Amino acid sequence: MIAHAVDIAIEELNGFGAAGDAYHLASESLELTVADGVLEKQVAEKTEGIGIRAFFNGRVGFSYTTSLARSDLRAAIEKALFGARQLPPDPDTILPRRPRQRYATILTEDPLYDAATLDSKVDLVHAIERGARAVDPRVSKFQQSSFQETRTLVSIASTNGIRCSYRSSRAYGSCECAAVDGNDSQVGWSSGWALSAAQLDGAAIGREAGTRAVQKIGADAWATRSTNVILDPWVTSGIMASLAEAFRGDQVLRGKSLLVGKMGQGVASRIVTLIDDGCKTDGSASAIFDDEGWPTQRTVLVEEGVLRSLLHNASSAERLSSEPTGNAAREGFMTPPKIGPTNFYMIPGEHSPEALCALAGEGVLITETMGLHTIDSVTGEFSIAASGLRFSRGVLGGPVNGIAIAGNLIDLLHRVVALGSDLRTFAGGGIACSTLVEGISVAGR
Amino acid sequence: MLTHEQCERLLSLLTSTGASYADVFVERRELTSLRLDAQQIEQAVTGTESGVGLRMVRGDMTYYASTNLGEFADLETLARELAAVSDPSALQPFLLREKTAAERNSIRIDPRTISFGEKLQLLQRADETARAASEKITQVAASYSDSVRDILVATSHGDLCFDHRVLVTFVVHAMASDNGEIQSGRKVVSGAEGWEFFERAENQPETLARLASQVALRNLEAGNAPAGTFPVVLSSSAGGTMVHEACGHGLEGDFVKQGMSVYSGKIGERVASDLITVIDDGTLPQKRGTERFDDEGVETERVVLIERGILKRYLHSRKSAAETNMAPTGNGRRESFRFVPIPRMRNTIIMPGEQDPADIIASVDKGIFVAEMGGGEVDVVSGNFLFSITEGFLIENGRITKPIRGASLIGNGPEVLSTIDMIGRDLGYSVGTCGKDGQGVPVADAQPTLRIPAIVVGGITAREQS
Repeated sequence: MIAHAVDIAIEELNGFGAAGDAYHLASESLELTVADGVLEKQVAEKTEGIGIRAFFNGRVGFSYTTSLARSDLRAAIEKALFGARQLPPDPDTILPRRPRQRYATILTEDPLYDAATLDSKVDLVHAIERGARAVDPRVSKFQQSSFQETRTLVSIASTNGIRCSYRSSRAYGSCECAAVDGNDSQVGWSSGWALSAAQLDGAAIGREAGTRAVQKIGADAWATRSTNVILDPWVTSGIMASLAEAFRGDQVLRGKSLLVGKMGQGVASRIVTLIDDGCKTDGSASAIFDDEGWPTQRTVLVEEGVLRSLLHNASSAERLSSEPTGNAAREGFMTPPKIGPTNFYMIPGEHSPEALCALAGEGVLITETMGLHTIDSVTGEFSIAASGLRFSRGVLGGPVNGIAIAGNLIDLLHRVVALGSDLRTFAGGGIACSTLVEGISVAGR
Repeated sequence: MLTHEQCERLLSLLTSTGASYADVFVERRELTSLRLDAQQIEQAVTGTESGVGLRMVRGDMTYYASTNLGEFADLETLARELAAVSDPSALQPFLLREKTAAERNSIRIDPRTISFGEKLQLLQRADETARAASEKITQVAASYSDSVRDILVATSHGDLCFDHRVLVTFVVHAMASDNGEIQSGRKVVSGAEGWEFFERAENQPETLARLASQVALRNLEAGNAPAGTFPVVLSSSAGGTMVHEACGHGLEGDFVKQGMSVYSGKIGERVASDLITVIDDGTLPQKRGTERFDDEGVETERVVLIERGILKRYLHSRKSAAETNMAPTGNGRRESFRFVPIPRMRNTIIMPGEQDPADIIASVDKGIFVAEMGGGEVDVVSGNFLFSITEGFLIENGRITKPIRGASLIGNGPEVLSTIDMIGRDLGYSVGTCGKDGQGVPVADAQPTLRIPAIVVGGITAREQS
């Protein structure tokens, strides 16, 4: 019955003589939280809603509703059409045609998702905190360890004949703790994901959070200078997420991207190959179609340093005489589709983290940053807080914190000199390896 | 919205199995959002969402369930499951009384009565003004949004609270290009006000568009900020991101209770120089963080956090207050019915001092002047924080000279607050959406012009500039 809501919406759109599409989302989630050995929170959520785009007389309106009764769907369409009539014509937004290619078959849910008991999930979240505790007696403060699982059903239909749906399931674990040594307290954070609770290794998440806290104890001063920097996979993934914005076709069309006019040109060092792959096996952001119902695909964005493609939805592809790349993205059912990356990554290198250090000689390994959200993805300028470990003569030394790294994202890509083999897949589509970059400004005191 | 009787029924279920506390949170949010980008309407969204969050606390454990699905019978089932009620026919009745509190924000013109077309005009006025500023302004984006939320909180203390919350927000983003270089400037205004907000000159699209384009054009001329440790003057116009990050988050009761905050266990101790008084005030009329009640039915108040450098109080939700034997402070907030409330800031302010802002600038030989701050972040455990400079200048020999771009300042909260040595008699506000535990809530921050004698500037080293 639920899956029919999009079909009713299309019938109603047709009844109004309008074109359009309907995006239906139904999700159920559970979250458990442990703090300092005590299970303290159990949160359950059920959400359902439908977002409807209506195209009429060259104008586009959008509305949503959380009630799926035919009369409420009709009211939402009326609201979208009413909005559309008050807006100027929008020739740039189009509805995707019915795709010719087939949808990929990839695993986006664990069929045994339901098999895990509540008790086993409670055990899992306790195991996360125990994992952190076991690292070192100095890991002694616990903000929270949490487990979250979500199951989602997405269905899309359009007046152009798109009709598709898929289920997905995800389980996440995270840990936030602190190591205390005298007056020195340092936070450690980690997270992990899987398709279900049964596939999640809780202890490993806690262990990583504890390890990251302890390694920051005893930091000393850093003298401002430019030096070689190794970004660990966490940090590389965070910076790549800012970079991904620059590949959005709509932003390039508006002239609001670092990559305007750079197609076919060198935008990175020769060892950099960037991929967006929405149907990657084991990708955390994999889905069989994007948020307009277009099939996901593997797109080579940068090949050996040269810009080859952008990320598109139907509208931006049409304007650039290109094909959609399966990158239409919505933030839930309450907004119309824009463009976003899926599994966005750099092809890894062959160096172990130790080998990267040896190669770099002098510098700093960055393991944590603050302020990624302040990066300007139009100019590419970044100036973010960082902490990590210094290295000298190719060997890792003590921690540094309260430092700042600054530069420009494109400049950073050109300065990549070696890549690690330690590829790691994070929740939300980030996939990254350690990255050695030469000549970066690192400010300290 | 649920009826009085329906709330009583849900609370009699939630309190029937040994709950120490329970509440029902009902929300109806109407949202309109319009965005103009590159002279095209990029987004025009209007819609309504309603939902309910049920909470039951027993011992150390909080049970919470939320849904945006409709029928009352489903909510009864949810409440029964949450409280593990075996026999719902044998319940004690529960009685609620309406609790009132002074209305802090007056709303004269409900933004829902204004047409899409009029709202769209604001965007077009911003676009035209910005483009007229210079041929170098190559792209303009402007967005408008209004949110009208009706909130009901029914608590196991017997209180039934209603709040009507209106927010309007307007943002202008101007992009300037010259010789292949791109720079941008952004201005945002927001208040707990109706459509009349836009009657005031400082909130009009022309004003914001002019300011945003000025910043974008100036950034084209700007050099890189230097890297290293320098004295910094934060102008009152810079807004309050610094106080928000340097001490606000560290004073939130949940971090404090877990011993995670650098300010844990320091009530009565000196944590800042005696020039520093910090308050969080949820009662200031029309400010973005102002509400009658918090999201668990506690009246908002003016909380003095630090008085002349001495730590006085923390910000509490009901839970963090109960766990530390303190009174709740009206700071239990949630993004929506989907979330359990946690301690959050509202309008956080460093109180003004007595000095002339011009004297503070004149006191610095070589340093940085911050005219506007952007976003920030803090690690409450070490107290290390960062905020970005969106408009900055060099200070040379006591004078503001060349514009600088794209840098952030990195400091340690208690250290910075203890070393601030000059404080102005002015006060400037900024607005934002504060993120914590995946929940965004509207806030405002304010501070006077002040001097930090030494802080790390995340700029570019001389070697990389050359």
